[in-house]
Amino acid sequence: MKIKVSKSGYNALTESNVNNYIFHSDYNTFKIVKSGTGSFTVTASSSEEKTITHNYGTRVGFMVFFKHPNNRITYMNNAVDDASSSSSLWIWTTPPISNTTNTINLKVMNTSGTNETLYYQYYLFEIPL
Amino acid sequence: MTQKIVISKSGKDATSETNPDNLIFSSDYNTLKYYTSGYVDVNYDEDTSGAITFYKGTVAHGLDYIPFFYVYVDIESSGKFVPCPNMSSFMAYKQSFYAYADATNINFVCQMQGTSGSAKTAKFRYFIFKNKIDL
Repeated sequence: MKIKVSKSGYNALTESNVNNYIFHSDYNTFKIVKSGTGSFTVTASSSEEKTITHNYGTRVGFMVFFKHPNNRITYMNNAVDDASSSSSLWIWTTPPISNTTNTINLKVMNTSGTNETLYYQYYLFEIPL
Repeated sequence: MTQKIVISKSGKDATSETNPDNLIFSSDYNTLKYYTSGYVDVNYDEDTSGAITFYKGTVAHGLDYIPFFYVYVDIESSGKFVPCPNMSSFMAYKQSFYAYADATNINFVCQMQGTSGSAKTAKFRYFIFKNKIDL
């Protein structure tokens, strides 16, 4: 037995292209098994290691979005700079961000002379690592 | 009793299975909800006479919140896509390709600093999901 939901205009009884389905029980879904938000302060003119504790208990795929001090949002170690605005925070080193069974770890540099706040939202996916 | 929709993988019992790896779908878990995707070309010049120079393209996400997004870039429009960010430093140039979101747009940036090279076009491939970034 299968459960299928086709896109509008396609026949779920006959359609063979999986890309024309909204849902098809033959194919696993990309499940978000946990997510959370938080923030931390990065001390002025410093480079600090930070830990996001998720306590999921298993190594899985992950993604972290960050809101930088200039209110721009991006994921992982993408920059948010252009000619009109730049961030004083840099997520760096190799690897820039890593995930273990219970924590996401990163290193962030604050190039400004004042303490800055970095906001984050993490996602854990049903992808065992 | 909480009602759920659960579809297990073959050989697993949907009424008792708790490992999400053994489930095709479970209403206990959110999923990424595909919204839209596309390409944005950004022209850039590798030779900036040594100055840090930004080349930028944008696409309006059309949402009243910042969505979950993901971006690849084909740096020289040669058919080879790599995930953003992509950063390289080689001899006479430093190049970064990255993406960020603001209240209106997804922005695609080629940051160049070089004293040699040529004009090129980066092809950014973006995927936007309905999932809200709660920041």
